[in-house]
Amino acid sequence: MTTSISFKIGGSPLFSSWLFSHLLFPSKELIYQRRRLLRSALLIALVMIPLVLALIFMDGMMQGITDKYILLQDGHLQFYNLDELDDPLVQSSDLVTSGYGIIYSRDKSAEVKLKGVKEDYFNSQRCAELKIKEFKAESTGSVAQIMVSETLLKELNVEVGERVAFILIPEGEQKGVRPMLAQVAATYNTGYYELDSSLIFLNYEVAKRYLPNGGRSYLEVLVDNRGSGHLDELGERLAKGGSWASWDQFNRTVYQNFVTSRQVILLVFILILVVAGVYVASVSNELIQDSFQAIALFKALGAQQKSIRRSYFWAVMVVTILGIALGLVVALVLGHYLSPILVWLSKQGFEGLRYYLLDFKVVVAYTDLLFIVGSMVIIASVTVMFTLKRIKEISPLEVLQQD
Amino acid sequence: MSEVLLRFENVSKIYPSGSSHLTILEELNFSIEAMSSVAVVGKSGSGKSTLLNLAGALDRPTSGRVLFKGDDIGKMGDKELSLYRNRHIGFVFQSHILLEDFSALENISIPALIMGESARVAKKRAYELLERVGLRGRAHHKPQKLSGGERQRVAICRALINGAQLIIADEPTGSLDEASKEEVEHLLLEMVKEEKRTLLMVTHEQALAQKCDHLYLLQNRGLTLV
Amino acid sequence: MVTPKIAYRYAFSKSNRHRSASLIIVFGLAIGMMALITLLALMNSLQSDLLDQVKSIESFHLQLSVTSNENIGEITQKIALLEGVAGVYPHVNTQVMVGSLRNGESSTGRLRVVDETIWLEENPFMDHLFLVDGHPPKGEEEVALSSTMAYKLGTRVGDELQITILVPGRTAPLAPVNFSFRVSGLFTTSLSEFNESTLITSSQPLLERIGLQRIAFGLYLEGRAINNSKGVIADLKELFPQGEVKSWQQLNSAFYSALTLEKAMMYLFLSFMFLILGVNMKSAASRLLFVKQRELAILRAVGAPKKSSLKIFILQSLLITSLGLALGVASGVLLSTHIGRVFSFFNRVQYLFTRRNNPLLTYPFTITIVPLEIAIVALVILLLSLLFTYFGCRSLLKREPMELLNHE
Repeated sequence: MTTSISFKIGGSPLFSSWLFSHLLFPSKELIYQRRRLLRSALLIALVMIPLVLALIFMDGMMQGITDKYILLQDGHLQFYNLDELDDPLVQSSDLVTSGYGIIYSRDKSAEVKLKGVKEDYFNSQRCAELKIKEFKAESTGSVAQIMVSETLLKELNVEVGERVAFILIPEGEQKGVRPMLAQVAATYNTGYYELDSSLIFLNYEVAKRYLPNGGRSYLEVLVDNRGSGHLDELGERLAKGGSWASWDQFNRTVYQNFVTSRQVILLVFILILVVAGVYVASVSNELIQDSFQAIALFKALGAQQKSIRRSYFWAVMVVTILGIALGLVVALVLGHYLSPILVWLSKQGFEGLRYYLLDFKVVVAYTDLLFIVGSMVIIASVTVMFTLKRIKEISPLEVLQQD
Repeated sequence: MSEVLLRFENVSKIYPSGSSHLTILEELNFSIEAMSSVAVVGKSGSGKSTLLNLAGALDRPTSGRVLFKGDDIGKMGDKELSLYRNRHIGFVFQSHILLEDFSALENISIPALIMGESARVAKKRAYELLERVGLRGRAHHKPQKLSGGERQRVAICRALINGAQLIIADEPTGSLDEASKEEVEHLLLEMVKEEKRTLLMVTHEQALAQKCDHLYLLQNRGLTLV
Repeated sequence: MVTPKIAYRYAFSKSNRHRSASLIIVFGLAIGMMALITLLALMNSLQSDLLDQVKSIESFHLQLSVTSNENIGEITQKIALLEGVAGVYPHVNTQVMVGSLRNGESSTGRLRVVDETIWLEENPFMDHLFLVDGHPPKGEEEVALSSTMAYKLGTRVGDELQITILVPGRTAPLAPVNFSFRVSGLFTTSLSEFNESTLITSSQPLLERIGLQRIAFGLYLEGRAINNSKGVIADLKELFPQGEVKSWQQLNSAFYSALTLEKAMMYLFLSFMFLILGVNMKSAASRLLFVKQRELAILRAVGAPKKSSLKIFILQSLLITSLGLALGVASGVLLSTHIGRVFSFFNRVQYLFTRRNNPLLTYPFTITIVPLEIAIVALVILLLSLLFTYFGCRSLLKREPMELLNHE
């Protein structure tokens, strides 16, 4: 007795590819099937778009805010030992002095930080973060000339050239406060309300004269990209035992709120992906149901379950991945127009947008996008695998049944 | 004496039916020689389709063995059964059961693709078979555009494409008109003979049954040679 | 009784080959509802926590500014008698300079001069503010400090502070004037900005120096008036026609607007979930009808009226959707109620790898499930499902039975 049947393990890849291509590209007459595939891909794309845009917005805005705080308010690092720094990672080092106080006009008052800077402080990097308008106001004697944000001027109801007064926090052993007068000689606008509403610039020498005890002086240091990820190490190294601080120590609260918002968006994303994953499973189930008799026939003709499952799995996953890719591409393209649109909306009077930085560069967190895409693919795969179990239950005998 | 291709050894098939059982086949002993044609006739409900399903490994016997060239089909796993159906069996169903979304050419090619042939080779063979049955010009037509007889001819081609040794036909002309019936009957028997295959057929058509080498009557859960 | 039986069988019977379609719809609906409810609960929690604190601590429910010849006590009494008003607290907020007399540290801050009864009565202010040390300020010379500010100044309970305020001067519009206070207590709240820079006192001399015309009357409301203050506002305007009434939303307009924007964004995301669910249901409804075309044709062929055929499918749809929604609501409420534990678990997992706590996962959520919201969402989904089934069925029922059979 000879064994006449050869046992070849593994399904035929050619049959799988053939079936897969028929599922993915149904013939022209199969309008419903084509529409179903297109609808699935478009729906997934549609869901991806606003979520990716929200991420781009949060990331761009957070990066923009961080840049503004670093470049204009605190620098990457502050060193209280005023010796010159010589390090390849240090991009710029500026001697500044600062003090805190309350600015007041006829009607209003506000808490502010006064920052005395030298002429070369506003380098090209910093100038990119704000718009400065200087005015040739008539000098009023020994009164200090200051640069105030347009936002703060509006709140104080003060015009350029007018005087304002300060009371400043005493420094060192000085007791009591004394008012200081100043004249608004220039205005600036960073586009970010939180920063604009509390920061005032003046000349370094003038600040040393007027701020109590000359203010608090320090070296404000900007580092290049290589150093920005290792600020703590760099700070320790450059301080050489002296005291120093990094920017995030000053701005934790502002930053934290946005980090939380971003996390919420990611959480929402995951929830929506779970719902989308179930939708993908229903598409898969539909595909299988439509091919019930065909699957029974393939089995009757000797096709292995593995080959059939593989074809259906990849047909559904390819549609899903195409939808994700389409959504990502459209979102990334639209993302470049997000900032101008938001700026326009803000000008139409959407007051709530004041809390956000609207003029930002597009920042794409590829890691997060990869995580989201990966999550979607995994969720869809898992849900589709469940529906593919149905294929196992289809008996070749059912090819003889009519339904 | 020819080699025995298929043998039923004490095969019984019992279906559960509510609280009792329904015995369709009981202790059936039956064999088919290679390159022969066998017709099975019997009343409706006598178990003819069950017999074919067991032979084609679409179903498993409740007891007994079905041996194909000495190998027990009942002991095969899912993969081996798939291979068995793909390489050694060709089905011709009563209602052809072609895939509506595929053309005649594609329907015929499917078993070859499942076996692992390239699309080019599968198509070439399919064309040859279509030529043989006079349907080459209809290769790209979908089943909706073919007549009953034409569809059945396509089904016959599908059954033969992989060189299956055993062709199992369940009422192959049952749903055809008189003219198509004759055509299909003639074609089936001729092609089986030419290709040196074995035919196991269930039919109500006496004339067709008598054209076969052997005729069996299935009644009272057993087979009798007529 | 036949109709419900058939409907159930079509939906869930094991002998029904299309049962998997029903089960997937149920499962899909359950997951969708669960995700919707969880998202709504989180949204409500994040926003309502913040809004609650702003209303309670930062700005009161309403504020009235009025120039009147009556004294503050009389005005307060009149307002307190209005329906819907739980408490009235005249107060002034002003920018100040604070300096510790012990160690010389200084800072800017915001001083609130408010009647000391605010510390003694039950009100939203006391619900959200916690005294961590000492006691509330009494009399003219005591002040309570936020704990963050105390840390900045290196100050403890009992220390002396010098507070400099700006008051109308003789020759200048505003001039600085100093006052000394003793720190009576330290407090904390969940509003970080309030915590960073606020001092509270009830000093009458200070109030008089600042100017009684700057006094605003902060109102806490009760009952329905909390969410709908129109009645109270109307009453106030009647009582003080020259007065200006602002709601907490108006007082924090930019902040409120930002939160509204975020809520709108969340609703946009919710609507996408809805869209997916809706498309799912539409295709599911079509599916369930399509696979039962033959049965529908046979029912018609044996004389079943169109109405009863329609009933069967509507009932089937109702059964499937209701089960999905019920499962979804139950699991959504369960998940939302225990979201803190779930997040805590994920935070611990993340901590293992990053050695950092996740700000969202460690946020102290107080979950707010609004039954009305859930009911509306569930009802809409149910209606959509029934509508899709109804319209799908109607188009099938327009066709003749043989047409349906021949479609096979």
